[in-house]
Amino acid sequence: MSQPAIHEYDAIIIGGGLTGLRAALQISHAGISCAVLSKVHPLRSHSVAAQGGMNASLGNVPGPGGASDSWELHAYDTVKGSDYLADQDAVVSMCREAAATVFELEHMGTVWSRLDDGKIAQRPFGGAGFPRTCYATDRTGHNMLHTLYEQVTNAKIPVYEEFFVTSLITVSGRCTGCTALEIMTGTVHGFPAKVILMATGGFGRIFSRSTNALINTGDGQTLAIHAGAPLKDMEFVQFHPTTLVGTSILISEAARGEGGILLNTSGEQFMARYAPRSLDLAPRDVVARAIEQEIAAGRGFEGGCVHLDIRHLGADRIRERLPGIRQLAMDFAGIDPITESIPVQPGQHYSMGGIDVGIDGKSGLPGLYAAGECACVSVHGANRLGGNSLLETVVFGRLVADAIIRDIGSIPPPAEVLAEAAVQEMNLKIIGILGRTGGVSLFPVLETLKETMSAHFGIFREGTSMEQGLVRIRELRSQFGNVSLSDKETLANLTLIRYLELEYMFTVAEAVALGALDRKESRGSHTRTDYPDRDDNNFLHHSIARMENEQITILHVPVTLGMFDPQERVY
Amino acid sequence: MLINRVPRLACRTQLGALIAGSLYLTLSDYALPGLTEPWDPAEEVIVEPLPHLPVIKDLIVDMETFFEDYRAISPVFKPGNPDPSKERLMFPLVVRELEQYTPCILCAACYAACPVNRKNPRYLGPAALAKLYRFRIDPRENQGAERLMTADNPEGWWGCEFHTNCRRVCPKDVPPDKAIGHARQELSRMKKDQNSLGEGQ
Ligand SMILES: Cc1cc2nc3c(=O)[nH]c(=O)nc-3n(C[C@H](O)[C@H](O)[C@H](O)COP(=O)(O)OP(=O)(O)OC[C@H]3O[C@@H](n4cnc5c(N)ncnc54)[C@H](O)[C@@H]3O)c2cc1C
Ligand code: SF4
Repeated sequence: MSQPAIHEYDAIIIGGGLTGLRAALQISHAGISCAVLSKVHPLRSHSVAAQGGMNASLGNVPGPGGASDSWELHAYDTVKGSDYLADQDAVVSMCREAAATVFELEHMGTVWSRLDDGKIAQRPFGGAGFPRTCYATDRTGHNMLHTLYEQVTNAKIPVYEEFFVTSLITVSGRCTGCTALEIMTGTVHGFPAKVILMATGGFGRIFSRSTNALINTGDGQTLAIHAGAPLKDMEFVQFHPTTLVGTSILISEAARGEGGILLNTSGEQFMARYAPRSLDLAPRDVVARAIEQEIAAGRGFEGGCVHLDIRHLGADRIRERLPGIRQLAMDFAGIDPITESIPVQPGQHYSMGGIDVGIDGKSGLPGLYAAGECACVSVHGANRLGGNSLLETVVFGRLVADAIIRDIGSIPPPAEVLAEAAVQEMNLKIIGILGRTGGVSLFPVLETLKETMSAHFGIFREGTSMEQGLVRIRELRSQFGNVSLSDKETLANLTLIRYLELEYMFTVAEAVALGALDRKESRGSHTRTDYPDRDDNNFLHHSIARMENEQITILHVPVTLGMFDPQERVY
Repeated sequence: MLINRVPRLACRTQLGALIAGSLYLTLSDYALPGLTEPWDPAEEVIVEPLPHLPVIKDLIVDMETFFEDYRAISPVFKPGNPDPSKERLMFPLVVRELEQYTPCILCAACYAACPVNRKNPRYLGPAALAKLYRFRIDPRENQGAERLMTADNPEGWWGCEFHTNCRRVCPKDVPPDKAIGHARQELSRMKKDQNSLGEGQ
């Protein structure tokens, strides 16, 4: 075997989405050597797909009765939206930083949609008391990510594109680097580093109906828990109310923010029965449950869906504000929303849980930091508000980078030999996988896992069904040991990547299942038909998933309260 | 199309909704987005990787030369004034003009479909030129036509032969040919002004 390829940097950022790129810029500007590793070209990261917008209390558009917005009101909406499970100190930092963060992006060149007076436009979003969501038509993530990529390119930060991270290197309870498979050549590289920042995004693809990119497989969460950094609140999975039927393509909340309404087969705006005040702009957990209930009661359309009607907005407004959504509906359903209603159904959308970190992004494993969707600070608690995730990526991308800049001086350089050994170990593992013959094939196992998750851990959950689901996950995992791949090449073997991702997905799936079984209450996105009420006496806590000897156990830690006391959540 | 389920055919697929621009391929000799084309399974379709980019494996091409051209135009915002405490103002009409070019997903379909790129690999290509024009018309920069000078040569604005394949294949309706036309007009005007100024002295 040839000499292992070793690249040493002070900081390695895993992930080239909004979080990773924002952090890389900050770290590099501080004069610290760093590189970004991403399993896809950064511009293909999932962040690019975000449509609706990013929340900040700029107050550019007056609220109800001419009232003006403030970060405190943003924090209140966020905490209430989280069903009081968010840590309020973290929410405060995020909401306080929000306006400056939108301006910062604007100063880097992001093109935002504008009001007639030239200021950044803002639209209403679910669960928000004000029109607070800044947007770039319905391509907000795209405009933001291209801006950050331009800045990263300009700063000449090394980006290892199409490098798939395969393991974290740890020694004496500290993370000292990682290994990564260069997808196009099949070479395993070692990256010794003083710190690793995980910015790998969500794990939506463990579910069968998901708006997420195929690459959102929870790699970072699994790498972290195996290396000794616990996960948090994994049971809280957001289901978005409106995905294009049969495709799981997201129809942004912006469609309802702009005035779209949901209708059942009787043509009734049914949200009036579920959320009399907020109607179609109630938070996502509320709307998704309402749609499922309508369908279950026989008031859904063929194919298990309801209709989203935006026709009354008129052709001009649709073309101007929601051009991407119109295009998606035309391309993928043959429907022009200017003249027809869009058939929609709920689908998995966001992972509230993730690597357990504090406001400074430190995980339970020294040397490992995390931010963005793969992390759980927690600013979203049991349910994330639309527009708060883009905000989280850029705010915490920067704040966690600042913490790394602060800490890095006191961390000794890692030993290169450890990285070499880790590379050899990974090479042997890959040779073993490619050498396997006979056995079962990969895709049926993958599909069954996803179906299991959707069937047993979807919008409505129940104890016995979840127990069965957990057994099924474990059975599948044992079958996974016999999977052999038809493609045995090392060069550009994407089936091998799907295999390694599936390995990650099993751990994440089990963490979700164990968290969901442990939480015997209904809160935010986690709805148990056997425990329909929120139970603050017993469950106002975070669930921490730790791994010991390959076994996951769930512990509880208190929620940080503060400005807002838990109250009943009505919309 | 379920190309990512053909286990031995290597291709890049990420988002599945024509947003990320990584699955571009040639269907029956025409650069097309890989995911929306209606496909009659009874009919034989020739699926090929994008032309004139080096093939790594099956449908996967090496996009490096394409991104080299992207980097060559200095694709980064260069503000005209120091950052204000809030946002720089921009008016909706200007934003609308700019938003013709910002949707580019850098998928290289235009690059692959361009006959000039085929003849001359040093030609910057439609996407990079459209990007450069996007910065030129951003009112928050104020370099004027200076921005256009980067590509004031036969490998840049002047290489285009207006075949307009770029606009036809673009999945995001970006009009690179329009940007190129405007840029040329502006440069010509600038040069004419400079010449007449020279003559006047
Ligand atoms: C369709 C859609 C629309 C959305 N719209 C909005 C919206 O309007 N507003 C809002 O606030 N939020 C929205 N969200 C949520 C938001 O887009 C995401 O939460 C956010 O972009 C996540 O950013 P990130 O940087 O944390 O991760 P990502 O953008 O997902 O990036 C993850 C990165 O990690 C890399 N990576 C992962 N695993 C590995 C590995 N093993 N090795 C190497 N690299 C790896 C990937 O290559 C990628 O670069 C939307 C989400 C979806 C699904
Ligand atoms: S201009 Fe259009 S075709 Fe060309 S790279 Fe951009 S999105 Fe693709």
